[in-house]
Amino acid sequence: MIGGNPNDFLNRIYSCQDTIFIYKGIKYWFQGYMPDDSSVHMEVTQYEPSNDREVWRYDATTIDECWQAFIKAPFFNGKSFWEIEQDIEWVDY
Amino acid sequence: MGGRGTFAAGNNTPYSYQTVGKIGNVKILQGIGNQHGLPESSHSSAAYIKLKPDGTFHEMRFYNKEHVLYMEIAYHAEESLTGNRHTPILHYHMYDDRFSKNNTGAFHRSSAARLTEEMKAKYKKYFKGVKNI
Repeated sequence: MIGGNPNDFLNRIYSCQDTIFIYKGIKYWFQGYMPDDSSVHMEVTQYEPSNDREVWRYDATTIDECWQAFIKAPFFNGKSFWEIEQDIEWVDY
Repeated sequence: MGGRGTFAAGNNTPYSYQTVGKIGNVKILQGIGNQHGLPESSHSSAAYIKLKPDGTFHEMRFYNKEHVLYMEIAYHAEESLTGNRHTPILHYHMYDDRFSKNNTGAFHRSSAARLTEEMKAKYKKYFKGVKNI
């Protein structure tokens, strides 16, 4: 990972805080939140260039379930996080 | 899991931010090295601001007397509020105590909500460069 440590990045994902990263020249935005006391939502959207297509979203009953889904999701050309983490740049904006 | 070990959690971790300015009495912070975002808890301040490289408002976080993060105001797209993924909008999320006080386990971060008129009036001086507040 460029601009950070992949384990720190995954800790950040677990915390549901807004997280911005670049992969193959496209900037993505991650966030998570709890719509109510019994559900968790996580999502990745394309941030720049802006695009209304859905990249990834997951709804579950626990943070851990969503987090595991993020790690396993093949949302980058069929590849999952650990397969491409060395090409991901973690940025602030 | 979680990695939220901070001052509020009782861990004296090194502070990885520098103050690069102020708006009113609120410090504008910038992460040092690979530190991203704003702190999950504060050392002493009641709020911190983060600006984008062009100087416009990006995010503001609010902390209670226990140094615990309880609210975050941000300016970016929120599909749940605008119906699209590209129109930026001022909005806020609320955090419960468990977020800053624990390194692991469950916590609550609320869905994005529009700022109330009262919040806009109270905080607009911090929203540098944001049009159509």
